[in-house]
Amino acid sequence: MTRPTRWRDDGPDEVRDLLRYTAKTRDLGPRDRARTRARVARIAAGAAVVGGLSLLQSAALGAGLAVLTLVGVEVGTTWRASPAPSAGQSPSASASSSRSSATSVQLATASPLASGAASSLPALPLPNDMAPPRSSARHAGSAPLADDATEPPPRAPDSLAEEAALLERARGALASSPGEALARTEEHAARFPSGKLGMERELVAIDALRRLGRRAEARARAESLLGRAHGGLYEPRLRQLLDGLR
Amino acid sequence: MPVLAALVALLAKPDAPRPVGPPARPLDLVAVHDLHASFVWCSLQRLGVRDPDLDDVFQEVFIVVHKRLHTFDGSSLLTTWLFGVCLRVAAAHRRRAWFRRETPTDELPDAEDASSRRPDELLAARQARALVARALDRLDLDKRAVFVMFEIDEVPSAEIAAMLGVPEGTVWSRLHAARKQFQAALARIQAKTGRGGAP
Repeated sequence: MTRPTRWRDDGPDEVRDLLRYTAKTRDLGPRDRARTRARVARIAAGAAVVGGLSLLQSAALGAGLAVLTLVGVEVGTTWRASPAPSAGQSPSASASSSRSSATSVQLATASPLASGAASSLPALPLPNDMAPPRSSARHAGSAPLADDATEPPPRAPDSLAEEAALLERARGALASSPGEALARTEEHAARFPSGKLGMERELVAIDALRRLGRRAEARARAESLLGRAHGGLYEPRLRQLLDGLR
Repeated sequence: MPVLAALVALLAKPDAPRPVGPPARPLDLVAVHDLHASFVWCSLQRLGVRDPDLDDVFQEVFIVVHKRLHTFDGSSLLTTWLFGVCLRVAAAHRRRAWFRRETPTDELPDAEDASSRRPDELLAARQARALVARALDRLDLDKRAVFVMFEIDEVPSAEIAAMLGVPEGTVWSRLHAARKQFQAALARIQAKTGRGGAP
């Protein structure tokens, strides 16, 4: 093959004329460079935060699972020690009480790692339109049930691990059952109105709405979120979702 | 559960070896930007990403680079590797744009053009640019990039070959194929619009 010459010089007349008018590719100017450099630096920094967050979430989740294992052992022991329900109390209520008691004891001793991990997490931007605290089943059900008044009050199980697990289930249901995924996000909003993964929840919810064909709702929710996600870690994902909705 | 699996994997392999690139300067994301931002910026345009989307797609490229930089083993030029990333991101962008049924619109004339050219020249230039843009949109992406670099940006073929990490002969054959596609696309567009000849 011979070395080609440019069409601008000796190409077909029509094409030569067209190419004569065509502008060259615009190079990156100093302003563009400064702007893109700042954004890239944010990606690098943001990824470190996300990496740390994932690690802490994982640690918290691991600690939560360890707690559950200990609780399982303890519940077994408790049941073996006091199998008969007290008078006036249904068997299920008694079992529930025993379980809760055992849970509170174990959590009081085993949760510092998890709660410490959670408290050291960087605050993620949360959507302003986050649902106000609704009647929370968890709060209603977590009244102290310990049968010994001197026992420390029951501590909530690690909420970040719960949040992560709930959103993991929501995300897992997205492809097969977006309705269920949406319901999980609503459950998350109800249980964790000030949760640390509010933004993540909104993204899953928007995706679920999109898959359900409720595109207008999804778009409105995404656009509302975009203003608050501007320059943040979630902005690219949000824009990607919005692209698919336009 | 993926999160738990990630934790287990992390604990099992705390110091998993990663390939290290050859440059003296450590390959972090900002360093890649400093070295090759201009190349990525121009490549995306050559691959058909238009001005309004350029910032976002550029950022998408660097998100991918950040995730995948550890896989760059130095066996090729970094520009070759980056061009591969640009190609994939631009292809995804093109699919989205096609999904949205976007068509290129005429560009606004820049200030210099507007002041130094007659109105009929300006109109001809706008029509020519729009026509070329539409024809280029019908080219395969890798051919499009070579065509734009050679025919519009007037980059020497040896330089194109070096950037893309291919032999110069490959550049020529891609250019040959791109020219055929371009002419065919042009003919189809002109037949469709009923417009003949140069604008």
